Amino acid sequence: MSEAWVLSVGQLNEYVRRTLASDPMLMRVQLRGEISNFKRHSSGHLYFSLKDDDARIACVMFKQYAFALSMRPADGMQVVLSGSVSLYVKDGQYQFYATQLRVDGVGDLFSRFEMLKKRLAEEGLFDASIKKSIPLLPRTIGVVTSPTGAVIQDIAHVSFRRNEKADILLYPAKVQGVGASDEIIKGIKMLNKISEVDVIIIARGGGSIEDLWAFNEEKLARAIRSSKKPVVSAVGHETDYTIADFASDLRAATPSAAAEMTVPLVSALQDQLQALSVRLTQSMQRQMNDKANRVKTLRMGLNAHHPSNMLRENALRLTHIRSQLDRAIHGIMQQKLQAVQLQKSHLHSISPRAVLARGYSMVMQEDRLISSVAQLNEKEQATIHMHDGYAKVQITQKVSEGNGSEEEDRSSNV
Amino acid sequence: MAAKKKTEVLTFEKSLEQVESIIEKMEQSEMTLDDAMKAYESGMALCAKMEKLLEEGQGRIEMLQKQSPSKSDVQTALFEVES
Repeated sequence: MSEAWVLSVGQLNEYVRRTLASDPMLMRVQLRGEISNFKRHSSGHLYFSLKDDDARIACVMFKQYAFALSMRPADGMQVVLSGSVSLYVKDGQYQFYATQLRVDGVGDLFSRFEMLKKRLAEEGLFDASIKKSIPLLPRTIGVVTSPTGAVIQDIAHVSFRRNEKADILLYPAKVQGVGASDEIIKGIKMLNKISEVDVIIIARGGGSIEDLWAFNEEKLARAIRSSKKPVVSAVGHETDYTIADFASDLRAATPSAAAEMTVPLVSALQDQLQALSVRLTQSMQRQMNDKANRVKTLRMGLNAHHPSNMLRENALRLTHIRSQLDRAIHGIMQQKLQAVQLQKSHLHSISPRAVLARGYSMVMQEDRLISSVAQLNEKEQATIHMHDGYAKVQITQKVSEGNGSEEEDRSSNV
Repeated sequence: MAAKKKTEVLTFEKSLEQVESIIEKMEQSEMTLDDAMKAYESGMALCAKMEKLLEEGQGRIEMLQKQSPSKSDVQTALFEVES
């Protein structure tokens, strides 16, 4: 064996590298597998393994390709790589040089969705506390959606049914395919600059997860959160949830529902206003009534102390006193009358006439009552009073009986 | 967008809140007649303003033209709705 055929390690590796690199089959390979041992080097290059059930291969993606990725590769992802096969001369390891990386299949869209959702949720992007409230009566509703198709029509019909004066400003945007999320983001930014727009609806009709993918882009979620105006998302059907739905201020199940939730039913607001003004008037009425009642109470209080009341009271007292007086005087009079009657009958019993009636007589002379013979003037006339009349007599003789002297009146005629 | 220039007025919900708080005050407390009159009048004025807000708007859809270079030069076109 000739010395000339002995190779250095470097020569061998270089030879194998060239052989691999010149194989047309290995220059453009698409490779399917699961990422593992993923590392992002500080230089920006990505290092990982791609494996399936049977085997594994070392992979590298240089930074110029890594920067172009629209997603972040991670362990466990099913991907399809495009690139070439070569050998790293220094350590003799053969590896895959990836220039492109895409997620493999629908199942992986779901896992991408779940991973992004988890990451953004952990970041706090979906927190209820940062959600803006939807204005009760938006002046203009900005809508970012396709100008063709049922979505804008549905939104318009529901809006006008609820408020015929509703104004809608449509930002026409592609809602699926390449660049869709960028157009939607542009729409949100544009509508933010128009002052009349009070709320923004981003909407799309139903579709597959691939169709709705624009609404699962991280940059759209971030654009929604940096919108100054509240954003309502309405993507797909009721069962479809997108990252935009979680990031938005309000999630509507469908575009029609977004219009329901955003545009107020004007008749209901009018009813509410009507009820408010009735309540306002009633409370004013109550305030007035309270005042009137207080005035009434005060007036009653004042009336109770009105001077005419004192007059009336005094008059009443006067009448009372007068009647008391009347009663008193009447009593006294009655008493007196009785006393008089008593005296009268007493008088009557001791009256001379009563004595006369009993058969005694009364002698009077010159209007004097004669009770003694000595009072009589002889030879003069006297009057003898009896109960039924009198008689004039001539005194003829006086007889005193006490001391024996006798004076007799003989002459008497009637 | 038509020249819809207007100064920032009280929003509908702020107005609603104000009227409600006025009513609550009037319902729950004794006020001087003067204050009650003032409260009532401002409440009624707010209601009238809200009525007016409900009347605002033209009820139409416009579509932004994508070429619109800036907010000061926004181009729109009337958008037809299928009935």
